[in-house]
Amino acid sequence: MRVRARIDKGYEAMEIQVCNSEMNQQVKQLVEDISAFVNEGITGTDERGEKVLLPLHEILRFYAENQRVIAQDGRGCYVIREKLYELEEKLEEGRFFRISKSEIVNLKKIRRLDMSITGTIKVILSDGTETYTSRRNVTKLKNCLGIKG
Amino acid sequence: MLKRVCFSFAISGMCGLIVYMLMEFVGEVLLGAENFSGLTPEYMTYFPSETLALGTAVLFHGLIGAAFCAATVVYEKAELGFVLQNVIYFIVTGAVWIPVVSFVWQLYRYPAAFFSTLGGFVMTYIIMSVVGYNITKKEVAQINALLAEEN
Repeated sequence: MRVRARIDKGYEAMEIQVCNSEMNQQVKQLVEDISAFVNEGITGTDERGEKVLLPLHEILRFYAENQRVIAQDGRGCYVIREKLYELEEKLEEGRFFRISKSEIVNLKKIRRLDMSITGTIKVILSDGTETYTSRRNVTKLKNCLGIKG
Repeated sequence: MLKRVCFSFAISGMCGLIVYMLMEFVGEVLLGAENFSGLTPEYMTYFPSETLALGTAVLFHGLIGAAFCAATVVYEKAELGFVLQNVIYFIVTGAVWIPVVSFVWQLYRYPAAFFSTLGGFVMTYIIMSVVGYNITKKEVAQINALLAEEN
């Protein structure tokens, strides 16, 4: 299947089209999957107190801070109602990973891991955010990413 | 966490009791020794009866188990790094097990035995840390290789 990006100033917002000569099960499934992936979101409250729908694929991480759970994306941080354990149950395995007791990260947003001589393991996210994980979670992360051996 | 600590206390205490009972069985039934005990005679002099001495030793075993369990909380502080985590874990658990074994086994009376026990424990920790460090380093490299491939 050919996948291409079409850049045109005429588009006001990003749009995804599935093109085919006829409507069949594959097209329906693809539209449903893409739509679920793109529009799947969580409601957060920004610093001005306004409710915002945060698409899951844009979220970098969820973390607990001062008894609140925060969702962070490339634009900022939002307070959300769900607890981390609820998110862990709700979020699809293989897309998000719990790197510590107080944090869940989007696997697609991990840029790399850095391990220091003292054994501190930094998780560097795509926007440069740095956070930490423990040794036993590195093993779980490796398994979650499907790395064997 | 409190539940886990209590559970560790109970399990360690029970294990201690089973080991002492087994030792008595082996000593008295299999080896034929009279009044065989897994407790040192010097330790027993602190108590009016063997039962009380054994009960206290079992509670001490439980205390060691509880301390080892409670101290694992340090491994949740990922920003410390596991070398520092292991050092803290050793200090915290050592603060419990060293006085306990010194008293129950009367190790303070035998400096050579005390230092060999301590040395063995420290060496075990160092080996575990080095092995753990190398395994994690390899895992981090594997993860980074995959991430670099995907990005």
